[in-house]
This record gives sequence, C-alpha cells and structure tokens, in this order.
Amino acid sequence: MRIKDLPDEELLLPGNAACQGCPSSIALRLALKALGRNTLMTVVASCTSVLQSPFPASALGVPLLNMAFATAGASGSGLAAAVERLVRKGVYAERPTVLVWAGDGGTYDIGIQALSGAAERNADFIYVCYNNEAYSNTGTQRSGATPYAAWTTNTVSGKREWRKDMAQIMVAHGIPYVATASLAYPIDLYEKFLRAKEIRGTRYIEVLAPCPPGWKFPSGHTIKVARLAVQTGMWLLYEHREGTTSYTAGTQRLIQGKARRLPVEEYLKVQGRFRHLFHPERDEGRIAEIQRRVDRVFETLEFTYRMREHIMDIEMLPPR
Amino acid sequence: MRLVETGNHVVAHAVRLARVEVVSAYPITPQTQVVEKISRFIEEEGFECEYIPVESEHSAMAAMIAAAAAGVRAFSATSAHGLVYMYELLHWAAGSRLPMVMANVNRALGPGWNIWCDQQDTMSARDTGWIQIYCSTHQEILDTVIQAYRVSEDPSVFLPVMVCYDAFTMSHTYMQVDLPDQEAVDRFLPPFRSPWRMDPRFPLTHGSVIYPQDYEETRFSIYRAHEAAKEVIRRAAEEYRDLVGGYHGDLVETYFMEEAEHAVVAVGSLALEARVAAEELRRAGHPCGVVRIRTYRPFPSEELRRLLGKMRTVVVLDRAVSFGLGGILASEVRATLGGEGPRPVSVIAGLGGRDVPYTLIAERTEAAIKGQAMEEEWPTLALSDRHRVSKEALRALGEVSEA
Amino acid sequence: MGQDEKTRRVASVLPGRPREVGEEIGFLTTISVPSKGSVGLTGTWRTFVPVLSRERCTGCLICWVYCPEACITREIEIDLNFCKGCGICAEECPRGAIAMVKEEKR
Repeated sequence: MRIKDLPDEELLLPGNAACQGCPSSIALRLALKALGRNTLMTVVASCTSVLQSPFPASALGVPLLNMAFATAGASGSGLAAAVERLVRKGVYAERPTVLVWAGDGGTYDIGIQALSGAAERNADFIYVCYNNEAYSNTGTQRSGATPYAAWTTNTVSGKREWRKDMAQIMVAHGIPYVATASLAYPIDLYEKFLRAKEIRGTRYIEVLAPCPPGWKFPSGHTIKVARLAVQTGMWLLYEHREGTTSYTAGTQRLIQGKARRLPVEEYLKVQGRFRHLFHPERDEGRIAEIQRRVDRVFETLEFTYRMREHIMDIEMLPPR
Repeated sequence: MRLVETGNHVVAHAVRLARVEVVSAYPITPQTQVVEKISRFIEEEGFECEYIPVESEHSAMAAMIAAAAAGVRAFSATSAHGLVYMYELLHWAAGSRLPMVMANVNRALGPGWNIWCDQQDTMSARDTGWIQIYCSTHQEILDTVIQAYRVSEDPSVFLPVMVCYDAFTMSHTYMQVDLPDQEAVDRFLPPFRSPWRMDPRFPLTHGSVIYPQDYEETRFSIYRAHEAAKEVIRRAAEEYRDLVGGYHGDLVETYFMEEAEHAVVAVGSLALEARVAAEELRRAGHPCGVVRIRTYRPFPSEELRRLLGKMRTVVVLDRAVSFGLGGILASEVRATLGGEGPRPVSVIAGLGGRDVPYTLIAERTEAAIKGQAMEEEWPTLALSDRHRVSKEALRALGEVSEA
Repeated sequence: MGQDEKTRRVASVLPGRPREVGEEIGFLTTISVPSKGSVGLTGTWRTFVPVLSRERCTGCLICWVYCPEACITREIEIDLNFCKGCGICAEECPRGAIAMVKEEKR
C-alpha cells in the first residue's frame, strides 16, 4: 500500500480548533480514513475535546459523544452494547465500528480502571490512546506517560520517574489486538487501523503524538520528532495478535539491522522539554541512563531476532 | 400474575416488562439482587438485553449514558456509595438530556460502614437534574420503574429518572405484587424515544465545549423540563392506572388529609409508619393526616402549599441531614410554605437504619400539636456505651479535651 | 439593560408568570453540527504561508497525508482559508517544493 491509495474522504474537517502542527489531528484524520463513516466515536476530556471546536459547530464527520475524563473504556462498552442490540434488531445493516479516543491522561492515569475493566470484558471497540506524554490540554503537567527527565509544568527539573508501558499492560489483558503507531509511518498506522477494524473485541492502538507547544519544538517538526522517536528506539512500533508480537516499519528495520539506530540524544536535543539535559551544561548522567535503557531493550530484541530460527515459537498468551 | 417477591426482584421484573435493552451495573449491598435477577432473566429465561458487568459505578453510569446515546433503553441500579461514586456522571446524564432509569436502594454513607436504610445518598444528589421518585411498597416499585421510562422518554421531559426505595425494609422484605401483562405494559410504554442519538447517517457531536453565552440556556432548559415533568408524572400515574392498573399517587400521596388539621410529611417507607401513627392520633382525638412525598424532584411545591397551608401543625420526618442547615426535607417544606401555615417541626430520625417506631412518630407529633416540640428534633438519638469507649480512647490519645 | 428591562426578563422566566423574552427557550442540549471552519477561518492564525513550487512538486502526496488540517487537496491545492501555517508540509517535502514565507498582515 502507498500513500496514493489512502481514501480521499476527510472526516476531520478543516478550520477546527487544533493548535498548529497538532499530532492528534493527524492521527485522528488517518484513523477516520481507515474506519470510514460507519463509526460511532466517543472522546473523553483531552485536547480532542477542544480541537473538535466549540458548540454549535463540530469538526467531526462521524457521530461523536463527548464524555467525562475517566470514562473512555466504560463509554465504549456502553456504545458497543447498544450497537450489539441495534444490530440484532436490524437497525444497522452493517455493524458500525465503535471508536474510543483518549489521551494519555485519560488512558494511563484517570481512565486506566475503566479501560482495564472493558478490556477484561473484551468490549467490542477500538481504543486509541494518542499519547502526547503529558496533560497537554491543561497546559502540560506530568502524566504516567511522561518520559524520564522530561520537563513539564510540574516537573520543572525533569521527571524523576520512568513512564509506564501502557501498551504492554494492554497486552497483559490478553485482548485480541494491541498496536503502537507513529505519525511518521502513516501507512503502517493506517494499516493497523484497517486490521483492527476487521477484528471483534477490545483493540488497543497507541499513537505517539509529539505535541509542539507541550514538547517545545516548532510546529513544522511534528513528523520529524515522531520519526526520531522511532529511529532512536525511544518509541517501538509493533502489533500483538494471538500471543505473538511483530515489530513493524522503522522499528523492524532497526531490529533487522537494515537501519542504524540513532543515539537518543538526536531525539532529545530537538525538544525544548529536554533542554536542561544540554544547557547550561550537558547532563551526561541522565542522557546516558536514557540511552542505556533503550540499548537494553534492543539487545534483547536483536538477540531474539538473530536466534529466531533456534527459538521455539513460544506463545506468550493463550489465543482468544 | 401474583407473586411474593423482594423489592429488589420486583425491580428486575419491571426492567424486563419495560423491555430494557442495556443494563450496566456494579454490585453493592443492598442492591445486588436486582442485577442478579436480571442476569438470570437474560441467561436462563431469554430476556433479550445486554448486561454489562462493569468494574465500578462510575463506569456503570458512563456505559448507560453511552448506550442511551446510541439509541437504546438503558437501566442501572445502585445504592449509597455507588451513587455518590457516580456523582460526576449523574450531572452528565441529565445534561445530555438522555432518557434512562436507575433504581437506587437508599442506604447510609460511611464511615463507618453502614448498609442500612438512610436517604442521605439520593438527597445529596437532588441537584443533579435527575427526576427522583420514592416508593413505599413493592407494588409501587414495580409500577414506578415502568412509569419512570414513560416520564423519562416524554418529549417535554427527556431527563433521567431515579426510582428510590429503602434498604432492607423494602429491598429485602417479601411482599405480594401483581405482575401486569406484557401487552398492557406495551400499550402504556411505547418503544424507546430520545431527543437525539448517534447515527452515522446524521453525524452530530454531543457535549463539546460550550461558552458562557450558550451554557445557561441548556440549564434553563433542564429547569423547564422539571416544571413540565410535574404534569407528565401526574398523567403517567393516571394512564398507568387505566391501562395497566395500580395507583400510588403522583407527586404526592395523601392519607386522611381530607379532614386533617395536623399533618406529617415523610418520604419512602417512613411514610407508612407515619400513617399508622396518624391512625393512632386520630383515635386519640387529633385529626392528623400524612403527606407522602413521592416525587421529590421536581418538588411538589403547589401540592404542599395546597395541602399544608391550612394545617395547624406540620411535622416533617427526615432520614437525611443537610449538615449546617438541618433536615433536608424540612428545610424545603419550610421554604415552600414561606410564611403560610405553621412553622413545620423538623424531626430527623432513623439514620443508618435506626428503627423509627410509629409510636415515636405519634409521640413527637402529639408533642408538636400541643406546642411542646422543639423546632429541630433528633428523637432517636441514644448515645450508647460503645461511643463512650471510643471517646475514652480519643481522650487517652490526648486529641480531645475534657470540654 | 435598564432596570425595567431586567425585571421584565427575570419575570418572564419564572414559572407561572407571563413569559415574554424567554418564550422561545424550549428543549436545548449541546448538539453540534459538522462544518468546515468550525472555529472560523483558521487561516488568520498564520504567520508563515506555504508557497508551492509546481516545478519541483512530484505529486508524491506526502504533504497531503501529513497535513493536520486536511487543507491540502490531492492536486496539491492549499486552502489558505484554513491553513494555519504549521509548516509540516514544507518540512516533510522530500523535494523542498514548499517554502514557508512570512506573510504580510492582511
């Protein structure tokens, strides 16, 4: 598949309230290209509550239910249950896709309970976490997704803790589909939504969403920063189905040795939120610590790849 | 069909008769039997309904709002801590103007853990925009749940309805109920109607950012819907009586009020206790009646002014307190009457399931009739030795002075 | 608003009183309708404007796919009514066919 093959229809309309260079807009636009008009969408408190524009106009071309912050998983469950009833009653000839859209605050933090419950019940929806690694909508406070050493308005000298790995938490739920995506790999992202659409049950897709005002880089650099996250190994692209993880796009090329992994510094230094690691003087300790973590992950991945013919195909989780 | 059932099971029967399509609920004592019974209906008796066993009440209400938004009849049931955990979404539900019905078993709030009857839970949620109807018999619970959908889905209302009944004294006791025919219920309750729904053919957005120049009108619209609901509730009660059978009053139900000079005002099962007290007082030569407030929101202001304005004595029983003010119902009755009629005596009693015998109601009402009652009374207070033990313990900690 | 007008307005919304001003307020909730330009012409937010060189453009559609505003067509027509001037198209164009040029205030 090539960019030319993406559908023409725009379901996120121009002239909306998103910031310049907004990553959530790009993710939403591509997701809706894959899912199409026959979609019921719910959004919880996040930047997307704002970027859809205020009453009485809306930038969304699909029916949209705005809901309270902690409810993403539950709201999706309610929509899915209603859709099930309506399909059985014959109201819908073709089953609509339920799309749940939440930020990292609504997913990693306040919404994790509702999401975990819904995933355990295998509620029939696609859950998207667009992860801009902070509470961007309220002015960039730390979240459970904020990476180590990143500046936010309430971690002014850099976050002291490491972020949690939400996608792996979702893998541990044993749901039928988990994927991570990047805006810099739009075909990979689009195809993941297409594949998710064909599956029933809880599907979780997390998109890294570099936020120009929150991460402090120029609005034109959104894609560049997203690409560097993958190229430095700071963000992994994969999908997990039936107990097996497959690495995709840029991450696959790194593991297979077809592309050289860049030092994390390349990613850190283009963002103002990591400026204190380089100015007024270089913080070798923290930069090295971040690099070590990424190296460790890739050592395991590369080793597994090299040994792939010698390792039995172990199913990590029973297929559902 | 005549059954002998618990109040909770009666709710489940009503849900099936109302052809509810999505139920989302989380277990909490004393509500559990409601959803247990519903899930049995679904799994064993072919009741066509999606039951979402959510992981919290907050999620129960969120799922219910979303289901109603997608265009199906939704139901939930909860109690006490479950209700207050939902609090954010109670507002969201009413603001969305989506019809739905929830049963709430009135129970006390902690700490300490108390699973017994108390109306603090729902009365604390009175300003959420929900219509609240309180029941006093099992038959009334059944009839009211069905009526509640009719009220909720009326185009001049379009608001969620809470059907409330007392923990244990109603939820777990067995009483005789007449189960109406499905055909009769279907005649009374048309298929689900809502003001808007999510439909890919007409992609509308609900609940986005709304600025000050538009917000207030949406709240005024809810306020007006409550005004309109009064007539809708009256009509629903009458039509239900004609089409299905069974009548329990509309906004209020009165006992012996025709000749009364003194009145006791109460909500829920306490009103039945008050009725026995009134009978006692009448035998003793005091013409006493009872006004049972059935619909608490919208508040039956006109009815209360009409019924109580000419009384010589008014006693208001409360099983809930507005701390810093007093009995919640008493405060509202006083405000409604303004200067008209006597100053109502506020009796706060029976919190956390404490027994309120009819003899006590009779005694305090008689005191009020004779002008011997205080304005605010807590007649069931009885500090036990157990409280002295904890006071001793605190004193030993040095946290509480001798004073 | 004068005192009389204010009194009349307040009176008009109280139940059981003659309604004059508030009469038209019926059922209201927060329903919004999909529209282009839902916050108006976002092109006015712009400081830099994308300028396309047709000679260099190969029509690869990279600018189209990355545009957050969906304001570039597949024919690489940029709708300047809505383009916020973020510069992603210029940054990502593999041929350098789009330049961001400081815009004179209109």
